Amino acid sequence: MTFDRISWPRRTDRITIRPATTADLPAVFAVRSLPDVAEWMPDLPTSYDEWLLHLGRSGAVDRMLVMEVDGSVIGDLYVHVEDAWTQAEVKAAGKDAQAEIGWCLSPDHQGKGYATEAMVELVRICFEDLGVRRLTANAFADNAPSLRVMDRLGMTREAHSRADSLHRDHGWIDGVTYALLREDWTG
Amino acid sequence: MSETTPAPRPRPFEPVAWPVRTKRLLIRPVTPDDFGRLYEIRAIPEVTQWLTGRPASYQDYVERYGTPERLTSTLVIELGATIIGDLFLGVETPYSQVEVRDRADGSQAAIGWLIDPAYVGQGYATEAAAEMLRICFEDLGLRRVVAGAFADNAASLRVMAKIGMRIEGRTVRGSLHRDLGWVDGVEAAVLAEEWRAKPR
Repeated sequence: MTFDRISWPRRTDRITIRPATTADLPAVFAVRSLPDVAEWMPDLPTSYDEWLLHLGRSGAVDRMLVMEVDGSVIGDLYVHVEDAWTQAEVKAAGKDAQAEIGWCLSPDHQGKGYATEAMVELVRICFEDLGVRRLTANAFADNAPSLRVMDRLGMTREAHSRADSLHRDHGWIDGVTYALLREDWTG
Repeated sequence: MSETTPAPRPRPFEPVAWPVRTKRLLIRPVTPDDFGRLYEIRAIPEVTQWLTGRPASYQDYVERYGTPERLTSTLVIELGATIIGDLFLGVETPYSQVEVRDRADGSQAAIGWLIDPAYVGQGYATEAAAEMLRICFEDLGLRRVVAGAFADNAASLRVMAKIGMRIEGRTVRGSLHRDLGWVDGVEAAVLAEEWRAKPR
């Protein structure tokens, strides 16, 4: 598994980052099941048991890290190492060459720079420890706080796709993709 | 954040009345009888310069393009009695939140095209690709069509522009080319409503 190669936990000034364990999942669910949080997230879980099943089945639990402040889980981070697009003959060189990253922060802790602080560390983990050459992050174009974090990480908006993403309440709306290459990363 | 994509549709081309005719061309789903001629085209190095795969042999071609998934997403272009190229039309599911996945399922297509170099420069790619958009929007009832290309594939970008696709994204050194290394890619798209509003 991706995270096995790294020594945990990682610490920033205020935050401890480590892979999620079963014991963290109730706290993560408590955040994810808030409608305001789920507005821009892939799902709005209503039943803890169903959410657990979905996490296991989709493999998402293996890509989840938690952010801890003063011993409490304040949100989760997401890392999905994937193959880059390549022509068929050079496929091997694109294996695990990039990662998609994301985050989800409890509303009680928003507005204090925690998402940026944790994501700066996650970018470092991806480039230095996981050895990927490129990072991507996707968001609904109207998710302004998320876009601000991407900007602060030094990511560049590479795509703005018109009405490409279906939202449960807003219908078909625009999505954006940001990216950052290791060679452009200033650390 | 990514979610798993549903399995490919078994018979995506079924709603279309084949063959489809344009002013000069005939378009129809591929059959294994076409493989000899299609390999002949793909064996020309300049054809595969910007394409995903460069088959090393006829056997390699059949292994890559004879799969059920490929057979249900490939069309051939005929001019008179001659196959002059092929088309890719893959129905796919765009991103959606989980609760509305059913509404997104199979609502988009990715398209691509290639023409035998002996027949380029006469607008055949544009004619075929434009017809593919009509098939996607009118016959298949899709809501969005996308196409990707290496940024330096000028011919492909010209076709995209001519058929009314907008460039929505440019990935920086995100795509690995067999000879050129990591290079830029472009993503183009057109919505059904945009296509309908465009004079033809």
